[in-house]
Amino acid sequence: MTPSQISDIYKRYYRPLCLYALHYMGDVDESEDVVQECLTSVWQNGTVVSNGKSYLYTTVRNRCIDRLRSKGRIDVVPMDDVSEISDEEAQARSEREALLWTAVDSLPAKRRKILLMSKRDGLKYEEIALRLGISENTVRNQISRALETLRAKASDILYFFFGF
Amino acid sequence: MQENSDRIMGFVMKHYREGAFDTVKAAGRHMRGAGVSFRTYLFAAVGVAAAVILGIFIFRGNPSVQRYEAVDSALVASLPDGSRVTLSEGSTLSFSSGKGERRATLEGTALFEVTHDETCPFTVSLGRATVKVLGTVFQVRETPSEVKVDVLEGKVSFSGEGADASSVILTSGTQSVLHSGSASPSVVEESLPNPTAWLTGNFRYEAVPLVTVLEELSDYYGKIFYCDPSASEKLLTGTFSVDDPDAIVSSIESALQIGIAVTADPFKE
Repeated sequence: MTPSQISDIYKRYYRPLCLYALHYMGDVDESEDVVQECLTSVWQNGTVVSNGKSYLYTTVRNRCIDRLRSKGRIDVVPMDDVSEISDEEAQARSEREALLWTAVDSLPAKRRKILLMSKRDGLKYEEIALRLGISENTVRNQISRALETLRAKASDILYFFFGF
Repeated sequence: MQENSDRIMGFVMKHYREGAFDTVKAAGRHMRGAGVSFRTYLFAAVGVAAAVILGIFIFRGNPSVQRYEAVDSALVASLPDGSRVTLSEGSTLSFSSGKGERRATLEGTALFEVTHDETCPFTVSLGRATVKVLGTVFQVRETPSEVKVDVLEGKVSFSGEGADASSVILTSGTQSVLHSGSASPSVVEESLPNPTAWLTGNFRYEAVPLVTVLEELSDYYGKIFYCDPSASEKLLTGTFSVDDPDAIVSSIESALQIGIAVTADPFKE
């Protein structure tokens, strides 16, 4: 495995796998740990990865479950899943989430900040405007432009690489 | 479907953190952990070769002539005048200095970082061409069909051999080529973006037209890389390791959504 093949595989699979793990672990750092451990062990065992997208997902899922069990959480289901979804659906969902994550990364910094204050931290437009010293109208504008960008990018099925 | 999209958006928004899930950093950690970093490997190899070369100076008659040979990896050598030479694998260099001149004879490819001394020009002879400098960084590549000079810093004079040879003055960022059989070198209008890829280990592109990228890959690997002409103006940005041309091709193919074909160059042996 040459360095360029390794970085290729990371670009294709790292983010989707992290988001897949995030559904189990519910924590960004732990998810990243799990995925990195899995990818490293896959190489050390010399497993061929070309047959292996599903294999990678299964490895990550098993390791998430092991970790959660060792913390005493016996009944393990993805945290926010009310309905059962198939493996293929879960993989496709992780890829779309990874696309979206990458799209958020590439927003202009200020627009990203405003978006997160609203959607992640749950602040009202009024509060955001007050904190940043800008008008409520600007907040509304920035958020709707950010969402527009995200929708456009997240539906771009030609996007193959995540995170660069 | 819409509900699905909203859930995906909600999930990402809930957990998003700047700098998390950094693909490039993760790949870097992986390579360091697994001990396969190409750069470390390259520099380690250079280190070993430099150590070995100290022991195998060949003194042929004239003790002031030093001979350097990069046997099976690139080699960095410090010349007695303080200049530095990086020789590519398989290249050889002899160096002598005397009153008012520094003279190197090269077979192959080398990058020169020449210490400045106006009273003592530094010349590189290639049998059929000569490059003369005062103090600068430049690279000379010799192949059976041509001699190519890239100037990275400063100014050099480049000429063919023979009575009717004329010289060209090259400034930083320019490239010139002397084709086999012609007496005088010509300046290349648009030189390729990564003349020192053999040394850095990477091709680095920033919005470079695909046609230029393919020309550089063809030049580097001695094969012909080509694509559908309609795609030739597409712009490519990215860094690619020289150690795996197949991976470069497949990365470009998926990034630009095009096909690239590779064939042997009928003009090279």
